[in-house]
Amino acid sequence: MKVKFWGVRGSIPTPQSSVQIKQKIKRILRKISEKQLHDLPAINRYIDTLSPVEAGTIGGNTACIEVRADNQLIIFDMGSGIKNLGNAIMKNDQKTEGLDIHIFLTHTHWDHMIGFPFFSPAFFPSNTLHFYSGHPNLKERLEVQQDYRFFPVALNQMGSKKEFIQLEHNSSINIGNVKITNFPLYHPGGSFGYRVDYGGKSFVYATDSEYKDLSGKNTKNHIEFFRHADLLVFDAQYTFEEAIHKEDWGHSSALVGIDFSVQADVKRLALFHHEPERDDFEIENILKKSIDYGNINYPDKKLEVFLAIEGLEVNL
Amino acid sequence: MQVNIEKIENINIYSIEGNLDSNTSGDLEKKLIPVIDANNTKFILDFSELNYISSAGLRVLLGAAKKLNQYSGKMILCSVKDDIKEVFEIAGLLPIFPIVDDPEAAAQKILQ
Repeated sequence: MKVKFWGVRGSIPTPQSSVQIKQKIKRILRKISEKQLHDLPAINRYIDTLSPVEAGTIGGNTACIEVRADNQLIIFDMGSGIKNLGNAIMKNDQKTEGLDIHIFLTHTHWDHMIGFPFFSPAFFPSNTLHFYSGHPNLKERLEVQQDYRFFPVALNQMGSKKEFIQLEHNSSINIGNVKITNFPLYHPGGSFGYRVDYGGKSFVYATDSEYKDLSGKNTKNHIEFFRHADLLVFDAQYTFEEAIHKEDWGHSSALVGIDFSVQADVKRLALFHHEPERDDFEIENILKKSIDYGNINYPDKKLEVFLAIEGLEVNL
Repeated sequence: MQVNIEKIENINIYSIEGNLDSNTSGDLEKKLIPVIDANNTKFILDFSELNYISSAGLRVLLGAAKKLNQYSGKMILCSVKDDIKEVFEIAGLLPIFPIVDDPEAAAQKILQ
């Protein structure tokens, strides 16, 4: 199973600002000067070693994740990241006989569906899009988003065939040999987590979720849903302190993700749905502090914690 | 986890032993919140025997602090091990929870 991040930001697409880019350029130049690098090849080699935080970006597109397993093309959420995913599908996968594309929605807040009108494969009549959602009326919600007052192309003007499947809560569905189970999460208007099981590997996508009562009796069902996941993508939009003060805003923190991961024996934890008010260095700082927290509280555990970064691929 | 509670004059002193996590934080909540609701506003939490605190434990302490704030109450932590102090720093909670060296210093601070 391959998991690729196309959109990792929460709430609203967040391009890098000129000030942020200039800040990165100055940092890189300072380091080049400190290392006394003078010839261009050496400078290029050094720049290639830098992380996306230092010499690129964590990413400003909103939620979209691609999963490939058993030759199936499965997408989770249609935030602004789905535009670039659509372009990649057109370049690498599009065939004359058409594609079957399976799209699972956590919920229909803007940051999770705003990219769909720009999803190129949706315009090809030979393609079939299969939409899955725990919410009712998904077709109507997409039609509203593309009402002529808000967007010039209506849903039914996008040429692909479309199928809408409302999922029973806590149920599983098979796409080929890939099993996908949903799990309701606490978020304004409701959200759904998804667990993908295939070939003995498992991926859990649990974004847009708040955990107000962290006692064991209240979280045990979540822990079971996350149990033994090879990769858990977790809503870490807020710091722990922010999450408490923004009660009922529907988001969580990295520290809760680490505690859950340890309890559920998760192997790798990806911090996701990054706060749009934070720059890349601030988000990286949250990661560093989260790793410190894990090392203090669980020194014997081998949980890997990392940032979901646009373009990052994880093979399970 | 074990909580030993004593009251000296109008100060409630909770000495917490063991681990404060998702399995035990509910017990502390049950011992803390009703006491606050009964108009007790001064609390010292002695962490000298606390080994570990997770987000669930922090959540309960924050809930108590929030409630105490409504009554203009005070909660002081004392004898906190370095690792646990660092967890409070990581969680961004040091501005909310005053931490002092020992119970005597906590008593002085709470009476200020």
